[in-house]
Amino acid sequence: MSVDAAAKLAAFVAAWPYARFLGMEAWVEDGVITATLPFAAHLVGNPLIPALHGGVVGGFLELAALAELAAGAPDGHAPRTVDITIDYLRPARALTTYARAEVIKRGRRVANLAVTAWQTTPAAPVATLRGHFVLGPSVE
Amino acid sequence: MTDEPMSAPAAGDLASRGTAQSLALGFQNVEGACAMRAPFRPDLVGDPALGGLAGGVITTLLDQTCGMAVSLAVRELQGDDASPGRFGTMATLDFRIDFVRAARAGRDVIGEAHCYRVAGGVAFVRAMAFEDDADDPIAAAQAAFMLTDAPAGA
Repeated sequence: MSVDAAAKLAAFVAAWPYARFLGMEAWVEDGVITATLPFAAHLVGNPLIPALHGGVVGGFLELAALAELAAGAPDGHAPRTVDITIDYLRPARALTTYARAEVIKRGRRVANLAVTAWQTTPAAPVATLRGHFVLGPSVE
Repeated sequence: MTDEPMSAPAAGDLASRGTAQSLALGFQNVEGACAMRAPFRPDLVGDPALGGLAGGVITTLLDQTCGMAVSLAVRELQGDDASPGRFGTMATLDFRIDFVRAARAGRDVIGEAHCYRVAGGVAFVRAMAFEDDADDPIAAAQAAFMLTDAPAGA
């Protein structure tokens, strides 16, 4: 992962207001991007457990996929979500959540990605995402 | 379509949920369906070049609206046995969402959900998101919820 990719990743997270609303961070280590979502009260869906809102988990997984693509995108191109499927495996509790995206296939127009989110250990994922994304010129 | 004051149990249920509150999700009266509104806010925008609410906000709106549709369907199944203020507890199993187009810049988004079947302790829901015309959708979702305190016969 080049310095350029790290800069593009940082620019993506900084540019999307919703990523800042969630409090998402992302970094590159040994060529692998990890996205993190520190726990915050405004992310709670079920206060009794307490657990993160399913939509927040889904939104974070989607952002992790978009960030992965944005880091490798040509200048002036932005990823756009076509469809996503989120499987909820465990309650996402009041802890920091981590996510890593894997590009399953990168076609000429469409990419297929899989994202896994976990809290205590990657061996116990809280949710996974599968989705299709298009990479096209940014809308100006 | 008019905004409808929410019932006390519904308001209590919603107010106790951090994300719904932080997104300022409100109820929306759409005939025959369960609907909520996500008011536009600049801090909830996705791609800044497009200027509309982020996909994650749409996902959250539809997840919340689907959950509400499930609650109402479960209450109907429970009939007179339903205790006041009881909305049932559930866990989202999976949630698929198709993003047909980006949400328009500066616009509120309405989510509308229909729980079409409750069987085997699982509720099946379909939902749509749009600005003001259900025939011009932003996104379509399909979800399954596990009822964690399933009523007998459900």
